[in-house]
Amino acid sequence: MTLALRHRIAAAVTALQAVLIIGVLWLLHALAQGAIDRQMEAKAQALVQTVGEVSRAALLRGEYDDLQPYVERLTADPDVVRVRLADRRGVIVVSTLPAEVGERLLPPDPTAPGRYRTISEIRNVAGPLGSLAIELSDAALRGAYERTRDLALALAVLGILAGGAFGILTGRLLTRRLEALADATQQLAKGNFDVSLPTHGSDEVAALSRLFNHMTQSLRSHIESLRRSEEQLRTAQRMEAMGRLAGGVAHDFNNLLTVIQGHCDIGLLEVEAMPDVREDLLAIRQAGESAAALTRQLLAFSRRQVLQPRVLNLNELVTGTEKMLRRVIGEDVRLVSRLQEQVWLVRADPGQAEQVVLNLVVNSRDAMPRGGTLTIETSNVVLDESYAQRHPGVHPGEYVLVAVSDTGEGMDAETLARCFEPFFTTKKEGRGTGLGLSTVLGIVQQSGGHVGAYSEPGRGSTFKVYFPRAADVVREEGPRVEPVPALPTGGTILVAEDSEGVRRLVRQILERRGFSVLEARSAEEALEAARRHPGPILLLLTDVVMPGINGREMAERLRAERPGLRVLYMSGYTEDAILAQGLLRGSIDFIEKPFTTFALERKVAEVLGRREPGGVDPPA
Amino acid sequence: MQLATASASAGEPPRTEYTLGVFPYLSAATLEDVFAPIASQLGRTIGRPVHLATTLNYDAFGVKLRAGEYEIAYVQPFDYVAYAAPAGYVPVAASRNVIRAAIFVRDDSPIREAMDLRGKTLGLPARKAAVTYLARQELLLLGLAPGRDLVLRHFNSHQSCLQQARIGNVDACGTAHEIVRMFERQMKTRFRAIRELPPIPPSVFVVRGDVPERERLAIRTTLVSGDLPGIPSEARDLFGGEVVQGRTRYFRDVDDREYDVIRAYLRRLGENP
Repeated sequence: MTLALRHRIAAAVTALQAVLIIGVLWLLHALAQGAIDRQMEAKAQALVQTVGEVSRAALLRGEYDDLQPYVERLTADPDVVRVRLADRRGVIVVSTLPAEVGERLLPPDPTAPGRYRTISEIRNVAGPLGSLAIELSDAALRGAYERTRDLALALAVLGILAGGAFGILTGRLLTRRLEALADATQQLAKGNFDVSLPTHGSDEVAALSRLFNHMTQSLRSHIESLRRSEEQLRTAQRMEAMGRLAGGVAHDFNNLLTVIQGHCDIGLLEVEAMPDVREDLLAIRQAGESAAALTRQLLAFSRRQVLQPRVLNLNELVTGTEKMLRRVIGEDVRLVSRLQEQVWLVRADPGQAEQVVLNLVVNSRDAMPRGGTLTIETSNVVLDESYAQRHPGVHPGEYVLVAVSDTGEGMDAETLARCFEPFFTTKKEGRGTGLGLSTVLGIVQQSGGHVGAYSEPGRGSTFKVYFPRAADVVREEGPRVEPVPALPTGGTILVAEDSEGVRRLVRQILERRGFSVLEARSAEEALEAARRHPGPILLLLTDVVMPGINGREMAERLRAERPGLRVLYMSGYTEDAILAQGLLRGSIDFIEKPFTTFALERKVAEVLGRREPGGVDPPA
Repeated sequence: MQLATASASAGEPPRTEYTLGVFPYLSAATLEDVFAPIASQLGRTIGRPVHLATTLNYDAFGVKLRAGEYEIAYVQPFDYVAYAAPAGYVPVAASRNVIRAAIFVRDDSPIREAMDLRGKTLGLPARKAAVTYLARQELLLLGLAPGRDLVLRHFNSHQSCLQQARIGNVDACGTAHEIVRMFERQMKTRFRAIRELPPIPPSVFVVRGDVPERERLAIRTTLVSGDLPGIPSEARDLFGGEVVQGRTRYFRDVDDREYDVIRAYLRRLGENP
């Protein structure tokens, strides 16, 4: 059985006190016994001396009549039990018990309890005169001592009881705060992190309470941080799921749009003399372009779009777009730019970065329907480990911050939590697609950056975009715009595309330009078709990712068989963007789905018109 | 608890031992101081224990003397004549001092001579003491009749008599000179003699007649030779000690005829020895 601490303290105090009291009583008892013995011994010695002196003359004279009353009076002292005087022959001549006179003086019984006995010889230089036997009893003295002892015992028992009560009280006083600490700990274990303990005093328990409060405060902070992180993680996971969905939809939609727009372009060429049909086809084409813009935003959000990053200065980007931004925000909103000098360079797609700034500005403008101030700021910042821990997905390092603030309506917490979700909007129907901020998020994250939003209802919002500082600071020139050569006619082009609609469209476009087209539904079919084709192949136009062998591997195999084979990649598949980024770094030619007839013809003409060493010269 | 157990005599069979009886002319304590060393020395000489004994008064001593209870006794001359000699005791040695007694008063007393004792109280030792015999005879010669001209009060010892005179219970005390000198030293007081009494032969050591001759001679030799270690200085005054050849000799040889004068006294007082 485990005793409570206060009971153990009470028991310990009581036991200690009992031991001390018993020890003291035992010591006093021993001292009293010694004192009684010494008292009786001294008394016996005094009696021996006194009675001995008085008896000496009687023994010399042999006359004891005067001595007998004297000895009998000694028994008035309660300690004196018996006094006997014997002559030198050992015959009792005087005794407190007169009947003993005439008897021989025998040694006393040493086993009789409570008696102090002594026999002293009375003598002079001539020899013994007689013997004096005195017996004393310590009964009176011991009785007085025992009464005192009993009183002391009673007081001791009271003392022990009082000690026990004191121990219980002390234990209760001491453990009350410990119990409070235990209760608080239990509440903490149950998840109540708001529990706190009083910390008055300066003793150990107060120090422990302060440590406990510090611990709960720290736990609260950590748990709050954990909750925020979990919320951010959930948001990120939700965004990731939405991104995958949007990316998948956009990919399939792009293939469809490629077919729709392609055939629409072909149709427009066929209906020059049919104005009504042409109007209809133009309407279809315009809708297709709108749909293509929408899918680009979806791809941007899903971070699956094809980026062409370059080293750039965000101050220059903001300055360069300022005129356009002023037109966008209107006259009721004042635009303020605060750009830090010597801002670091970043690596990002200039067009997409511009899209980020534009989307944020438009969002801020819409938050200030009655006008206000819109502030664009840039600055160099360093995000440390602590910041990175509080913001999952952020890597510590150097960033360039672009902050767009408004003095508009602001957002409540729920709105702020969902503002980056695609198609989430608080604007009236028809005023926004709900893809502006999600596009910003996708572009920035795809660029290795980070986005933060801060808002207070009625006071405005601030969106902060962090682009990572470029590791290599060499400014890159923009792509050289070369004149597109005329599209050659004739020759064989191998088209590898798993989408039948896209494959058929590409075949129609190329055949209209006089090319012979070898179709393949997969890389394996393309390789087989190339082996069976005895003549030269001007160009391999291939999707990047196909079932089985991907487009790049297939192209490399074909180049091994046909050195100098020109390759043009096309992609609308969601994961193409990742591969595409690697391909672009290798200066690979690429066309993004959906493409128009003109765009495909122009890209094919560009690839075939470039002179490359070892390449197959296109037909004239 | 047993404090001490020591008894040389209790429970032991009595050995053949002698008793030295001393007549009670001094307090028991004084007698023990003076005569216990003598008894001890006599015991060593004769090879058997000699114990000291006395009595409460002269009458008791006389009874025991007549009964022959003491093998050795130190008796005053009247007891020798009246009891010891008739009982067969043989004198072996006597104090070197004759008994010189007087009637003493306190030094500051107005009493100047014996006749001033008329109407006064005279303290004396026991009725059978030698000084009592001498004082009664002297009062008779002076024409002072006890009971008519003065009151006589007897005390157990000479010291008691002197003590009563000192505190004023009696006006004068008849006692021996040597006892007065000892008392004066002990009590830091002074007495003055107003009437000298005639000297008589000293007290005497006697030996019972059945004591073997060899022991009697040994006792005599011991007493007379002065080889008595342990006797206190007071004894010199009591016995008239004399230093001879480096030894203090207290006693001398004695002859029964020296005590005929005592026998004469007794006849004059009407007491036939």
